[in-house]
Amino acid sequence: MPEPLITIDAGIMGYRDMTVFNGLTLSIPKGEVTALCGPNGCGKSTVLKAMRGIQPLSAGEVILDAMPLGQWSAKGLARTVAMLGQTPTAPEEMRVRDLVALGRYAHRKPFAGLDIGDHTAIDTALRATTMVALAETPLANLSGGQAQRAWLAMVLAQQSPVIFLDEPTNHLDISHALSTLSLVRQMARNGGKTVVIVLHDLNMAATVADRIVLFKSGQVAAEGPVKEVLTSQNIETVFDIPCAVMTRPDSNLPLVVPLLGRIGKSEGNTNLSAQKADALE
Amino acid sequence: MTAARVSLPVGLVVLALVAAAMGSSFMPLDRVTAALFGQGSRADTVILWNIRLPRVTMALLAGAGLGIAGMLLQRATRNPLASPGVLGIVDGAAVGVLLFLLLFSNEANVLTVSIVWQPVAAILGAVVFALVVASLAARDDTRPMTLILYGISLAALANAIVVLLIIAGPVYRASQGLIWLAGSVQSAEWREVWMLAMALLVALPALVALIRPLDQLHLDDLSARTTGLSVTRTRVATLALSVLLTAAMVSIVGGIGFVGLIAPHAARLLFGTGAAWQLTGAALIGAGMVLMADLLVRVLFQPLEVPAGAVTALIGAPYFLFLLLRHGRAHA
Repeated sequence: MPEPLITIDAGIMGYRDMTVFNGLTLSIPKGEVTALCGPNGCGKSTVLKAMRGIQPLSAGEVILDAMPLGQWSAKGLARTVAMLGQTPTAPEEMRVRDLVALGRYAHRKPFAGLDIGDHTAIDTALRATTMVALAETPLANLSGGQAQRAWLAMVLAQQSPVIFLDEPTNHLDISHALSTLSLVRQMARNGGKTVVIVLHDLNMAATVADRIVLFKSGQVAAEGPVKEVLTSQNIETVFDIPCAVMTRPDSNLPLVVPLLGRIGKSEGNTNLSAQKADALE
Repeated sequence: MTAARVSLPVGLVVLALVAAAMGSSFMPLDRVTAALFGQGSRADTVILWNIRLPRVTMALLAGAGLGIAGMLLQRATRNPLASPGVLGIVDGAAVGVLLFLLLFSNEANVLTVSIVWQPVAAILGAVVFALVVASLAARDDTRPMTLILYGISLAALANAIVVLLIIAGPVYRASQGLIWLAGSVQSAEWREVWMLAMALLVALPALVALIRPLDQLHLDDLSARTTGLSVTRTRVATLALSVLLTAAMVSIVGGIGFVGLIAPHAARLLFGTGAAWQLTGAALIGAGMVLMADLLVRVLFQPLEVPAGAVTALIGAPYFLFLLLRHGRAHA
């Protein structure tokens, strides 16, 4: 594994009276795409927020680039780690270019307008996301996929070496989801960025990530290169479903296929229907 | 938007000249300008400089301050229904001022301490009520209607205290309190105008420093934070500035309501959502609203002196209802 850029050491975190993680230890390697996966409510988004200092740890610490997160200034942290949440919002009448310009906040000097560096960063981000033609369009007039690209452009304009994405393919159809993921892949390959991405679709994670971390109820169930982590045994443990892991014909990457038979019919006699039967008894 | 950015300041100057011309005796504009530049008759000069200009300037400054305070409040709470009046800050300031009038004046209706303490009393009252509303709202989720309901409840409480203070207090205090309370610029003096100007001048550097953070607050909290904004610090500073400005304005001109609600909305439509432009617009529109309201009461109700606050409320309350119907549905 390459040198770790971010580590969580013995992290304990939770919301009010519920502990999500108790003694979590995790390392994110530099220059790779790491996908955080796991069932709903396993805390993958919480981990992302903790690594960005949004969700405070009640014990343990997060080290970013050899310095504890608490010692980073708000702007210094923003210049190093950009993050796109699940439901970002901005006024509907705002134009794409103005949204992207907001990504420059941590770089700008007080009381000065956007300088050449800012404009270059904004234009580069718009080009990378193929949003140049829509730069003057108000957000209200964008489709779901376009809006997601506009937000990714804002994140790119931040010019941070690390990018966190929390389920960026939510609410996108498959073609927009894939184009978003290919953009993420480009950021890492051509842009040299370290990307941490929360995804619930394992096959999408397999196409975009170098490494996968599988969480189950507040613990790391498995972590490592995609092929090592996505085994039928790991997935059955984490998601409680029987599955087969095949090899994709196009890319030699693993393809996870749940073996549920026809959902709702009993002849499948899968673990799931067995569990349901158990519950009914 | 460019048209509004040019025509509104021009319109305001014209309105100010007209306001200076109107009064118990009409002064044609040529005499107004003559007196303005020291060329007019002695009577004109006295009327203009001692009576009308303080009144006009006070209306302009108070309106600008209230407009700015409203815009700050709406941006910090991300709530289009928020305004200093709705959230109980105006009434809180009123409680502070009435307690001040009650405690520090003698039977001859004369203050026993300097009037410069009046804004301090208003600020104390406003801060107390704002803190109560803020801490109540912080307990809850941040649904827009919840904040507004807390504000309206606290405003009602403050109002009740004000009424009790007026009724239970000495008789000689009641009329003074009532005149101040209704919101009026009719008895303007230069000394009070200077106090308003000082308050705005002190607020100006803070406003300028807040412009970019306020623009960043267009984003949701998470995005604003991850782009490098200290969201909590920005929000607290913005709210504090809004409360202080409101209290300073209200302590001198009284409860001129709804300017802080309408001016930011109109500014958003006419000047755009950039914080610098919206603040400028809210200041200009607020100034125009109060000046216009004062002009209307002078022209329509002459020789009676009706407080300008009555007119702004007459326009503002229905507009608030309209907003409530539109936004209330989405969050009910």
